[in-house]
Amino acid sequence: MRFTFKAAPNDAGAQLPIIEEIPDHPLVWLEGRNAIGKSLAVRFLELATGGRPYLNNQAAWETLPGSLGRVKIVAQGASSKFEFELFPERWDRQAAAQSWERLGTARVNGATSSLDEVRARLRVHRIAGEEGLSRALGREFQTQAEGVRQFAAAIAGDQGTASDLLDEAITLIDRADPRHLAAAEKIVESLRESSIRLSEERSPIEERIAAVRAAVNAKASLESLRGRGPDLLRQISEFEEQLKEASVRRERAVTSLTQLANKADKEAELTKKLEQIESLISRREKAAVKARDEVMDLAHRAGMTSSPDGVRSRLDEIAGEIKDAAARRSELARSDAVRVIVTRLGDVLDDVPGLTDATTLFDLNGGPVDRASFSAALDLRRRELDETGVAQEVDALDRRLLGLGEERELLTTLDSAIDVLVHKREMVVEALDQFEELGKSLESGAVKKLKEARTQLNEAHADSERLTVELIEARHAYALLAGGATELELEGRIAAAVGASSSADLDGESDTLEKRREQLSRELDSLSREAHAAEQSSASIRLEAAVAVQTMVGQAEWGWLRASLPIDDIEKWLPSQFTTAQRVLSSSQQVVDGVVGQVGAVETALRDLGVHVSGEGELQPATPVSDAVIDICERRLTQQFGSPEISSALFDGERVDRVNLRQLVIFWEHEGQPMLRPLSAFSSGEQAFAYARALIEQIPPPGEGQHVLLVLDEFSAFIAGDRRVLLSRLLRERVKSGKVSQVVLIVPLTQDYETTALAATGKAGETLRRRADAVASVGYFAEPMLET
Amino acid sequence: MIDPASKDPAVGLLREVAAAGVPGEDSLRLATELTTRPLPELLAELIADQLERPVEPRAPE
Repeated sequence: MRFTFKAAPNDAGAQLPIIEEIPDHPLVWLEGRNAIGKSLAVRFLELATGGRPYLNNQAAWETLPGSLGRVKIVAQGASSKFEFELFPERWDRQAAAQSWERLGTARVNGATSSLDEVRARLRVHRIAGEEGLSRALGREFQTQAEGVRQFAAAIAGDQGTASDLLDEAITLIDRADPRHLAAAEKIVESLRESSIRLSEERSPIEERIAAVRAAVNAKASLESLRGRGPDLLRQISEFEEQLKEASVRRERAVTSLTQLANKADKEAELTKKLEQIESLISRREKAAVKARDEVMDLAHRAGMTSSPDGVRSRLDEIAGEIKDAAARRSELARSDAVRVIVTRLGDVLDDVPGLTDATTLFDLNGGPVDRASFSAALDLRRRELDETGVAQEVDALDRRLLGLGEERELLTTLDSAIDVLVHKREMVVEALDQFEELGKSLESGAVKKLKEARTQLNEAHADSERLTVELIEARHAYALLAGGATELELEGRIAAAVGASSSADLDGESDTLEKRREQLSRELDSLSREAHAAEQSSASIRLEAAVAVQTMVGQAEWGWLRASLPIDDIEKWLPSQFTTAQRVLSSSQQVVDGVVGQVGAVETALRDLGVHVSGEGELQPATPVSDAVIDICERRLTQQFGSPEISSALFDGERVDRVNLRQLVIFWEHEGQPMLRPLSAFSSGEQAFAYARALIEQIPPPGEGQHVLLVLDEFSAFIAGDRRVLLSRLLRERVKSGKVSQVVLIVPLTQDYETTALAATGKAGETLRRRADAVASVGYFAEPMLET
Repeated sequence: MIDPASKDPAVGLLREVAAAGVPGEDSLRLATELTTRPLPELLAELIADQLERPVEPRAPE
């Protein structure tokens, strides 16, 4: 295969030199000056085919992007053409082992290709001859670490999926565990019991509050009765006397009017008109009296005076109280919604025609639920909800709203009646004014007297009217003092309500009781909310459990769980079975989650070992994994060093006992005597060559259609003396046997070809001249490796 | 010679480390099988293994 390389300068104009070509010979001898890009070309070829040549040389890696622009590599074989383009400006300078995709692009026979597709057709192995045994081994461990890292990346997706599946399985099993529902229902029950206890505590307090209030009212009435009562009684008596006197005056005036009317017969027409107005006045007075009586009756029923301002003020108060009570009622209705729905659901079931107790309504967890059992469950639930106290408060508020509505209606009627009374009185005054106006036209003494009599009648009527109202109001005021009760009756009421001995500080007791009741109400409200939340939680747990069971039992994707646990019978599981399942799933998840850490620990141990063996650092503190990795590597190396080639070159053909990578020494026997030598002592060209030869022999052979390129870089130390013959034979044998497709041997310039060409003649001279020209032109020459 | 892009050497090494009986050997063994066997089959087998293991007594608190 023929390889060509081309590196462009970067934006800053920097451009590392790189050789232009590796020719298409099975065995290539590439000889040239230093610093012309021989090794660089091969390293880029390694990068393009998935190798990591800079793993042990981070410093060189970091400087590359600043030293050149894009690199194009073309590899042309008999049936395959590879075109690589590397983009150093995109590389992560901090990571010599970054993903292949970030390095650049690859095309195989014109098609964009993945690393796997490239590697199926082209594999590059580079063995660096300048490394001693320690560095070569260190690089080997770093390469292995990189392989483990790539493997970890390849399984990360499946590992994450497995962990997620187990996590979900743990959640489903947990949701299906009936102990959660039992615990939630226990909480609900506990809250209900607390609610009942508080309600029971509040009930006698409310009774005591009612009694204390009655006593307080009676006491206030008693005090009022004892204070204003005598004055009011005296007033009533006086009003009664004055009313009698006014009534007598009125009777007299009526009699005078009748007599005077007869005398004024001659002025019949005028008199007739006066009589008509008189009649009108009388009718209107009767209507006014009727209106007044109605007002007084309504005022008495409403417990009010007939003052319009007082009535309207109370109406405003009632509107405010109705608003507050309605708001509280609405708030309770929201929290009472479940009870209402349960009650309504029962009613709906009763109304459905054709339902019998045995009728199946629905299936729950695979079992039928009939109407009788569902109705029984509804009744039980309704009774439970009734015990929370919300329903009682709702009833009390409803009663309060009804009372306020009735009072408002009564007061509205009273307000209207007061308006009517005012109007009627205005009508009477209007008729009296007409009468007076007509009287002015009369000159006769009879009419004048008639007018005077009329005035007297009016005055008597007005006095009577006023006194009647005042008398009624005085009586009403007296009745309001104590509701008509006597002092003795009121004292009896106080004693009956709270007992004679505890009536001293009724206000203080009332305050204390009110505070306690408010506290209990708050606690009941809080309990009600908690119970509601707990019930919702309980229902949610029940639903989640059913869904979890259905998911695990019915869905195909959980077949693996059913294959390992008796999920089909999960609804019959004992608590211990749930515990066991949780334990097993958790421990399985630990195993899955441990994959990342354990594989990472192996990678770390290999990297650590590579650094240590290369002589670049100490081993980190031992862990079980690092100990195992080192033991395995020691065992593998001991076996590798036992190969005849290495044994012959390094240990005089003796058997290697053990390689100790912790102490970096090798043990073997020589003529029966135990021998020991540090790894660093195996640094001669001969010894490194022996190891390199072993590595060459371990290169996997090419797959079908695959080209395997072996590059021996910086092998100047190996071409002296008989090693060159050995190496040549080995490489030819590898190519000939098909174990390697192509070999490139890179060496530094071995002589001054310009000078030697001058002294040579014939074919040898031509060869030297060609090499001298090539070196002068591009700094190197590449030609088939000669047989030696 | 390790081929860095091949998964086989890594799998072989991980299997050997698991066989050494290190803590977390189950995780390493599972890792080597993740790319070769169906996940449901692996999970079912893992759970079956855990079921067969005796319950470790809890340390007194």
